[in-house]
Amino acid sequence: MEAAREHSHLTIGMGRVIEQIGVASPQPRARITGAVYLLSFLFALGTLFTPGTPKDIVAHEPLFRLEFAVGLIWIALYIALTALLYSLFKPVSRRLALIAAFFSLVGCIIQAFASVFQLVPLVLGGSQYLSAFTVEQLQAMAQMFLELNVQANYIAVVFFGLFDIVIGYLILKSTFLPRILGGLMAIAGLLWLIFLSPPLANHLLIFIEAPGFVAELALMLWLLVFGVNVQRWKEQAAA
Amino acid sequence: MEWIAEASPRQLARIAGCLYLLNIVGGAFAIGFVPAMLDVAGNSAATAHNIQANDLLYRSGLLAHIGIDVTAVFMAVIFYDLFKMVNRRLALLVVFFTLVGTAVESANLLNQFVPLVLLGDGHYSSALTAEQLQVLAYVPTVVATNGYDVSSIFFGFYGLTIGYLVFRSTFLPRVIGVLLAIGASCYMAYSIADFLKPAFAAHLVPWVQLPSLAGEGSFCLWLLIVGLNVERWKQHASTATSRLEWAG
Repeated sequence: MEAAREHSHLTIGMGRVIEQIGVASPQPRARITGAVYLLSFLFALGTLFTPGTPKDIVAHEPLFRLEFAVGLIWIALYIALTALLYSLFKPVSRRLALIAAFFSLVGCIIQAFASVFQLVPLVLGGSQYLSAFTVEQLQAMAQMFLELNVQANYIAVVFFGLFDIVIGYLILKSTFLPRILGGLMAIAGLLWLIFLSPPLANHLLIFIEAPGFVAELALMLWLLVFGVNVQRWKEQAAA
Repeated sequence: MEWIAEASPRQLARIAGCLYLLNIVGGAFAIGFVPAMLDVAGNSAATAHNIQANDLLYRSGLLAHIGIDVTAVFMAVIFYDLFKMVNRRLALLVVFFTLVGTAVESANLLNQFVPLVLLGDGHYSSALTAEQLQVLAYVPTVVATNGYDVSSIFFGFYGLTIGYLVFRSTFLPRVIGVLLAIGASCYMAYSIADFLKPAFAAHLVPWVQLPSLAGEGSFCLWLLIVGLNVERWKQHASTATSRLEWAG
């Protein structure tokens, strides 16, 4: 690596320019990561008021449809966040950063696909051809698809938990972010794994969600306000 | 597989163009032609009848759809290799959006297999009436159109990202980047309209699809016929390599 660096320096003969581009400060990308994180937080808040039964959905159809669209944009933002975090933690361990990204992508895919089930109650409302079933039967079917969506989200949460654990570990191994953030993320991630048993997780919901919220909020605010320790990041990138 | 691993940038561009063409033609067949032939909106009985009577056409549509999902995965890798010199992070984002969109689209195909299962060999006709089976077979095909709207959101972000990369690349015409971004915006606008107000979204077809065809069509044909400006691509590559080496 040392030799290659020397070589490129000599052959291209514009070392200073390359130096400036090559070791470009990670600070803008840390701040952008924080900003995308913040945006994804805001979009996640927009999906908190999801109605639980087919009747609710039909009664509040426009609101429900809006939330559905907001939820998908949230997933798209989370994909961007995943790519940004990969790029931020690549200097710590390229392999682990990639593993974290893949966990997150799997979670995004499951959640995005299963979200379609939420629209089934609207499909099952009103049309003429549905008269082959009674209203109660249609509602029961709609309820089943809503439940399937919830179950799928439990699976997705486990993958997001694994994502958080690896990100937490990467923060702990990094020298450019406070270790406490890594500890919080790792604990939050471990707690999300309780969703492997949904009934247990639903019992402990507040004890899982609160640490998760605190950990992600802390990381988001830190990236947004302080970014990373530029000197240490560059050292780790060059190591 | 060896020839893919050792292809030159122009060959890679040609391969991507070829895959893109398969993707567009296959997509037009699977998502456009087959449903237009078989789906009767709001009529589960007629749709079920059409699917049963044209079993081979329906299955060909599904097969073509699986095929275009496979081409998308290959294209993601090639585009990463071609554009990582322009901006590595955005090139990665192109891959991520493609993978999520493609995975959702592939999983969504499950919905379209439901009619084949329910209307198949009469296993289910003892428990449910023919009308009920037709409804159960029809509803997933409606849900499937929503599923494609979901994947279109991610392909929309893919189009915006790759449009920007093409625009900044110098080795492809800037106008194609602009067209890709406009087409991608139309994708997303249609999907969001279909989530918010399906009746309104129905008015947008087919006009909303034309910019997407212009964007992806021109990109596809340019890659296929011209490839890319190898000289400029190599300039990018040498800057990027020295940049990386310098950064360690």
